[in-house]
Amino acid sequence: MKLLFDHGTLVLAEAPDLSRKAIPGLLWDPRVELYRAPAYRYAEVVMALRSLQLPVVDEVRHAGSVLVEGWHSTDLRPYQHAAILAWQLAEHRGLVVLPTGSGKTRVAAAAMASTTARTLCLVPTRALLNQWLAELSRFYPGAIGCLGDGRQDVQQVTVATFESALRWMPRIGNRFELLVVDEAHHFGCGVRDEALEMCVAGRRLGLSATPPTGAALARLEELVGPVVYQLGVGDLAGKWLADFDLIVLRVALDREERARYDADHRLFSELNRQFRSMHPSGTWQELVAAASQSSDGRAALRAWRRTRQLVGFTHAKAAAVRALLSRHRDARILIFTADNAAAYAIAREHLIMPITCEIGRQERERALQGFREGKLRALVSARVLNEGIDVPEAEVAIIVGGTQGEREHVQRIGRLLRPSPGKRATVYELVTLATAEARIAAERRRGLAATHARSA
Amino acid sequence: MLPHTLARLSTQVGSDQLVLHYLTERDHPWLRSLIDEYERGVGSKQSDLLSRLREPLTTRAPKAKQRLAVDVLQRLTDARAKAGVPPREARWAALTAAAQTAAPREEVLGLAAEQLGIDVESLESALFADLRSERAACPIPSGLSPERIALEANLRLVKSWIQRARSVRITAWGNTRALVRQARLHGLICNMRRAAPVQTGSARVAPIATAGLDALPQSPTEGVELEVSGPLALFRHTLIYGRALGALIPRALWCHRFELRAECETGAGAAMATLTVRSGDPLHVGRELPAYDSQLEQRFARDFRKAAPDWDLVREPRPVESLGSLIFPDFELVHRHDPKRRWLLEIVGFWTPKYLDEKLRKLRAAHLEHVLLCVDQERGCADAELPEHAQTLRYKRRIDVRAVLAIVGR
Repeated sequence: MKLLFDHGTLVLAEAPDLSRKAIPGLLWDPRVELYRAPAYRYAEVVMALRSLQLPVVDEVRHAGSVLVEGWHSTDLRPYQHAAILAWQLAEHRGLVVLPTGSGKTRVAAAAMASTTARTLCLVPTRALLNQWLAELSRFYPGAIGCLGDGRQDVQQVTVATFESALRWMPRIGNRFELLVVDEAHHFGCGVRDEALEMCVAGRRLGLSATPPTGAALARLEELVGPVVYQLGVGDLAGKWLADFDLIVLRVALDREERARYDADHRLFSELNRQFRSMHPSGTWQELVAAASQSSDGRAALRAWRRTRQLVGFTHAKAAAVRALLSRHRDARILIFTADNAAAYAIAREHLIMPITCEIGRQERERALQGFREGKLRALVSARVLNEGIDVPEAEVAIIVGGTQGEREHVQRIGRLLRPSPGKRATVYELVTLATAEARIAAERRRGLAATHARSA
Repeated sequence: MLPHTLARLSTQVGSDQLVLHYLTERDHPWLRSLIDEYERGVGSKQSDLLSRLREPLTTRAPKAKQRLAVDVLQRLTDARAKAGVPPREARWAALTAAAQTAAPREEVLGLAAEQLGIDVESLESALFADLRSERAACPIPSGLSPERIALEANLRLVKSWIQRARSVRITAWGNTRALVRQARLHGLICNMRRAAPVQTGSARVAPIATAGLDALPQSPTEGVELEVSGPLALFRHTLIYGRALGALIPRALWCHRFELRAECETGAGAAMATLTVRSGDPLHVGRELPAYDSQLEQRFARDFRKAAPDWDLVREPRPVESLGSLIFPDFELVHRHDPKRRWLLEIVGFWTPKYLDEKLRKLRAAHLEHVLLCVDQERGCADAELPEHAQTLRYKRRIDVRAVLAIVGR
């Protein structure tokens, strides 16, 4: 009997009848007349076969076992040491939750060095891909592979974007023993989970500042492991992270905007009221699915989208941005918007560099470098700067609008918290009065406060 | 992929069948209006123009079909407008200049424009000209007709549903090789059976067949039935094979005749329904497929024809049935004066001894003696690992035609 890797799954060739044996994840595949299991259950399958004393030739691993050595020693802060220890004690599986700016990449590098295992690191964006490559090369002298942003090179230590990993995993899922998942909260609730399912790596390290909750967390625990170590901003602010002031500026809609907003909001509220009367506990996805069935419902959804777009960048917000940029003329500023259109409008008016998904890698790197060196005074972005991008020089953030709730808010504020001597960051949050945004903003601030309280 | 809502709007979802509302000749008048409207807006901001095109037209158009057509139009006209100065340079000059001074915007732009040797207006228009959501609408490519938009829209609609399929069953006749290769290339599980032959008289041969791929194509009456799905599909419904399954459609369209049935998810967690697509449906047939799968094959065919006037080279000969599956040899070599002298030739790229053993086992089971495997010496294993009694020829970048002739001429 042979155990083989087959396009992100495991197959048992020349196997006897196993239908009455309890082997985790193993199913009979009538298409090829073989037993098949998802690759992420590799360790469990092997253990079950051994416990049943079934002779099996394991041909899953690519090129046998190889030690990845030569890592430089990593200077870890006490809490980073503790995180690594907790992960090791959890049998090299689990989620390490640390706030933005606390050095999660360094924790990952230390984990890789301690295991000397072939490692695949997954990161959400192309921008982070390059940042990880640069950071890892400080600790590992060997060649580092890269999948994504037009590069296709697989090495014993490889960094891949989530999207590239999904495409490549059927071919490379058996090449790694350690899987590091940056911003792991993106997994647990969607099609991307399959990237983790198609990999045989038994050792898994997830990194996040904002772990998911509920069903998504349960799924993440299955694919990566449980939360093994958690600290919040409150635990590290002052010593390891910069302190910050959060200032909420409440602005109003002008008369014309208010009329448009109210008309569209009424349209959507009616749909929402009808739906809630029939499905009191219905989810947003269910509401959208139900609304899509009728032209009135679709019109109401379009109205809802218009309100979001309007509130995302109002005339008053534009004026506030103008005033804040003038006030902080000599500071390094990050501006976060709800969408690209608002980011470009600000970029055009104030001649500020936009960092969006439409800006290519080289230009983005040049812009970030220019920001660090002071050649650019500000960056404006809708989503790209939300996660992971290292901009320790930023002192002021202006949150013009957002769409992703508490998690996005925490991540955005985290951009400013990388410490430097004497630094105290300032975050301005622009909120439009008497709109849905006021409620959402209050919720995300409560979420942020709860994060502080939890960690304290 | 087409947004799911849009795909659904153009589809009647029955209890177990999907009926697509194809764009047909009846839609051509409003498609013409759409093109005219677009042409009037060339040069304006593309995203604004597309929003305008989604509003009612002068000629009445079904809403869902109109949105589908605008989606296609966007894709077909998605070129970058030329700017007086490369936008990246324009941005860097203007934005770094702005960071160095507290001067008003116009003054900063003037300084940057002077540095670049252009006027302020050119600099302004170049600033974001390359960014998708900010770029100006480009002129419509020549030859873009209402018919072309209709066929493209239909194809996008079909692909969009296939990308939500759990499994696909295709019965195809003639030119099926590319279809099978495509499925295997993407790591899909592809169970093949020989399909019932089509009666010659009733065979509905699509017009594209006349512009066929090969001088000697497979018989259009002989076909295969493929059942295609991804390995993970065993455990749960997954959409990760969507792109691979969708890529089968253009290949199927180049078969002489085909019928495709796909089990598609009609919504998140919703029931499955069957989509049926067949030759004759109004779908855009893309670029002609390359005649050869690789340069290596192309070069071998050219060299062989030149060096062996006594031999005919048949590309994509009939598939060989063996041990319940079909084998697709690359070439068949047939002696002109003695047609009994026939050799099948297969070019093997990456290989292992086990793979070759299995291949030879199947060929032996099919009682084929005259089979020559050409194996890449750079991408395989050591000489000693070649299976015993295998009729093999090693090659490096180019297959030596004289060596082939020495073997087949014995």
